[in-house]
Amino acid sequence: MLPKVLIAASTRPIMLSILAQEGEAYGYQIIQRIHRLSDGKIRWTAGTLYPVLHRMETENLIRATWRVADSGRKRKYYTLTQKGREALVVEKSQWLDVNAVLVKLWGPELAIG
Amino acid sequence: MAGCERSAREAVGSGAGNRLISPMFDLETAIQTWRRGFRHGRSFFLFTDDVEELESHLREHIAHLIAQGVSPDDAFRMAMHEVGDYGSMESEFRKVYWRKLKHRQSLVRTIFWELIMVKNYLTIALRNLRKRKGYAFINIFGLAVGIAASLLILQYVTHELSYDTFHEDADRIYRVRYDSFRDGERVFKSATSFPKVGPAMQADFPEVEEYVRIFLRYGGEVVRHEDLSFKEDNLLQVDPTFLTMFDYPLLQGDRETALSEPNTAVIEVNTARKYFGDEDPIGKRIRVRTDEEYTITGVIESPENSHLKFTYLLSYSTLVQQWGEGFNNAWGWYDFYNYIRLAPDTDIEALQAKFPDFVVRHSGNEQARERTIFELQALTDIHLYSDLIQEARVNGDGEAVYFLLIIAFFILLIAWVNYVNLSTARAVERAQEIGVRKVMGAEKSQLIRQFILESVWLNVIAAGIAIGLLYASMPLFNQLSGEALSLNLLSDARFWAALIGLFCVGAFLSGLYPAFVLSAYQPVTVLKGKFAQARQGLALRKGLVIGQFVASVGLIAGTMIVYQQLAFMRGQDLGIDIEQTLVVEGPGVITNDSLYSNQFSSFKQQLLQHANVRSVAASTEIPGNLIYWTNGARKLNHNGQQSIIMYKVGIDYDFLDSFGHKLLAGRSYAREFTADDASVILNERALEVLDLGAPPDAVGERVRIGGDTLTVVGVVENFHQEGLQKAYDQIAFILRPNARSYYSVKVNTESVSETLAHISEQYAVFFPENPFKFYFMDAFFDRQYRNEQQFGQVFGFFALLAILVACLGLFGLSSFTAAQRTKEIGIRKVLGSTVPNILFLLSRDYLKLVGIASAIAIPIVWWLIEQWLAGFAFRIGITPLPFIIAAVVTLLIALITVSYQTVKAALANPVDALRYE
Repeated sequence: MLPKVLIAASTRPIMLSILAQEGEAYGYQIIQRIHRLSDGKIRWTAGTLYPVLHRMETENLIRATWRVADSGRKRKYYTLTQKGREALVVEKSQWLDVNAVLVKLWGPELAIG
Repeated sequence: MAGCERSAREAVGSGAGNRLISPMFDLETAIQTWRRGFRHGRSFFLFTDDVEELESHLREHIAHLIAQGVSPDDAFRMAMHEVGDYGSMESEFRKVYWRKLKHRQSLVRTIFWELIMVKNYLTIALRNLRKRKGYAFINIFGLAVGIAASLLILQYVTHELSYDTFHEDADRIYRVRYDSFRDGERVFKSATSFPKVGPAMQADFPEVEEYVRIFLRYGGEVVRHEDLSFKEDNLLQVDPTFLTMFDYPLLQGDRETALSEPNTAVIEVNTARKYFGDEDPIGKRIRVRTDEEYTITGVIESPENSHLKFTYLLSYSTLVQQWGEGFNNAWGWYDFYNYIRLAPDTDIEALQAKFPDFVVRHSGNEQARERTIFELQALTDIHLYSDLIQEARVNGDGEAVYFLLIIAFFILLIAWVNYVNLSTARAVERAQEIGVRKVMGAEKSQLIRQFILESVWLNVIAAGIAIGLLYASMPLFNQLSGEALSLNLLSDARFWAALIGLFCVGAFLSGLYPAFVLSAYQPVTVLKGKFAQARQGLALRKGLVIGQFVASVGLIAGTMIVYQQLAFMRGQDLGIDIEQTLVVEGPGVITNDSLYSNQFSSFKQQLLQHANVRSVAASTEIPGNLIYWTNGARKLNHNGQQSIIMYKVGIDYDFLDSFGHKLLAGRSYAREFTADDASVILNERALEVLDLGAPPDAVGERVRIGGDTLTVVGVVENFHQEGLQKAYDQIAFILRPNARSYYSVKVNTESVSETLAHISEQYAVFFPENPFKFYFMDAFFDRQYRNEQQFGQVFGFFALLAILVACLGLFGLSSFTAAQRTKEIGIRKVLGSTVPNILFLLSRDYLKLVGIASAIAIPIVWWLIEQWLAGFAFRIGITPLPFIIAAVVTLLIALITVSYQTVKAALANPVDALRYE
């Protein structure tokens, strides 16, 4: 399990990236996706996810719509806004900067990215 | 097991409504129970939408777990563990967007609780009102009177300010007025100018789009239609552009063409009813005097709020056709109103700067530049701000309008002050309520809101009553002011704007101070019961009471002085005798000018044969009228002397005797002096301005008046031709035995109606085609004081209201101060004070306040009234007496008002006051 600080810091770039990849996604789907991507190392709970989603929504980074899926379930889907896409570019470059430093320190074969 | 699993998935998938098969665990119920935990949470952090989303998440998770083979109840437990319940969820949400939610929460909470509190505030306010009925009455009634009075005055002021604003181009229409100068000194300021001015200005200046000339048929004319004939005043001879420049409502006819032909007329709608009843006036023919025929081509309204009032509009071209081109191109004949409409955005100053050259160009005289000054007067300024000779209608008085506005403001101020005073004085009573509220967690801002809301509430009631009062008092006000304000207020947007404006300002201002004072109490002190004195704001309350007394003293003194001046003007010796004088308007129509002389002397003989007729005199003017007949005048053979305007009155042989003019030197006109048509009788003022010396020296001197050289044969004492607002004018009496504008008949007081019948009968015999129109000279003269009288009445009316409202406030206030001092009085009585002692003690404060108020009011009112009196040539001096009376009256009113409470307090049994200790 990762420390809370790291989870908190990485939530935004991860969520923006997932939404950028998937086009649109609902909360449960996002959690499952991260779970799979991290091989179970990153476990988000509903309590972590939804408040952040809502804040991103009020910050106008993402947009939410209720829709009934093919399975008949009501789901709230999130998509990126233009502002969200721009934010992702910024986040990405910042994380790459951090990554670059770590790579130089540890050597390329040990780098995270 | 598999079936059960499928059912559970279906249940989760398709939401509520499906029943679960397992008797042990009902998934749907479990979810609903979980959900209820959120619904009952009182947090504003989570909204339905959030819960909805969490539920959707929960269902996804459960479905996922069930799909992996977990049993529904285990799936639910695991999912719930992951998602969390209300408590854990709220804390998560709180962490992330605490700030935003805090804001939203406070907003929602504010609105929610505020609504609940508003209801509570209103209830408390109502209870307080009910508990203190007297207080409620004083406050509400005072406010209502204040609002009603202000609205009434505002209505009046709006009416006065609305004059001529209904013309669409009012801001571009100007009247060319004319100032005549001699040697750098102004001789007169006239509303009228020359007939050539309008056309010449349009031709010379591209800025001038259009012009209208108006020629007032001064003195009126007899107008006939078939057998009907009336003497009509306000006959205007106008250019056809009158209808296109001005926007008087034309009911029938065509604006462009109605007056373009000679001998056409447009009739005012009420006049039309008088002549034609219900018949269509168009095409009807009327005759003015004996020789002017007109065909009616239109019907028009003549609104009250215009400086021009008319019964007929007659086409201007008729004048030119009938009397000659002089009516088009005369220069120097100033009997014509000239109005011009300027192009939008014209620079008035620049245009006026071109006028001197214009004058030179058209008069052909370089010196005319200094003598003839034209100025542009804005159409909308004419009614209130004009002070000119030759005005077509009595103008309003801009100053009186502003005086009234000040009074309106004062009355309202007094009412508001009352509210502030009473509310703060009642603080003691409400201190406990405030203390309890504060202990229960009320914030200062909430208390402020409460008290402002309370004042809004009271003001709502007061405004409602004010509208009722307004309706009730409008007829009285109209009678006092001589105005015709309409009761049709409720459809007037401006009225509502004024009402709402007054209401908002009043409610807020009067609520603000008490709100701050009351909300500042410390609950600990208040609830311990130590709070007994309402010392806070005492100085302010006293200040406010002084303010009310200032207004009362000022208004009483002002009213008295206005009435003194009025009485003075009425009682003043006019220098002539106008009592028991009947004025009969002379015949406008006579069959043959050459026969008139005989006709008149027979008529006169017939009248004089009646026992109660003492004298009959004919003249061109009568006292009480502005003299329109003027000429330049100077002493003969004094070419250096400047020509001075001389007011001329044509009289017959009996006029001077009849009016009791006092002859200072020389003689009156008499038949034995055959050369008297070259004689003149002057008044003292005329000798002065013509530099003719003392009366005896002046007799025999020769003067030039207009084109005539006349010998002075007599000098009469100065007399008041007009009301005492006007100074003595220089007047020349010229012999005109055939003058027939007015006949002045002196009658005895006995059986006046019988005498009148006789005169009327004879008039009909000698001048059959003329309507008999008469009035009494003293009443006629008195009408000049109508404005002052109305001003006095209106002033008095509102003074009374102001005092009433102030008394109400004082009454309320005194009752509270007396209540506050109950214990003090009790102790004093126990220690041996007598009732008179205590009465004096309680009244002394008010004595002091009235003293201070008088000291403030007197100089202010003195100064203001001095300004008003400055408008009168003959006026009273201001004496201290009215001020002393006003101060004493105010004091008495104050003492009587407070006596009810003080006497009650002084007579009270001290045991009652003290036994609580």
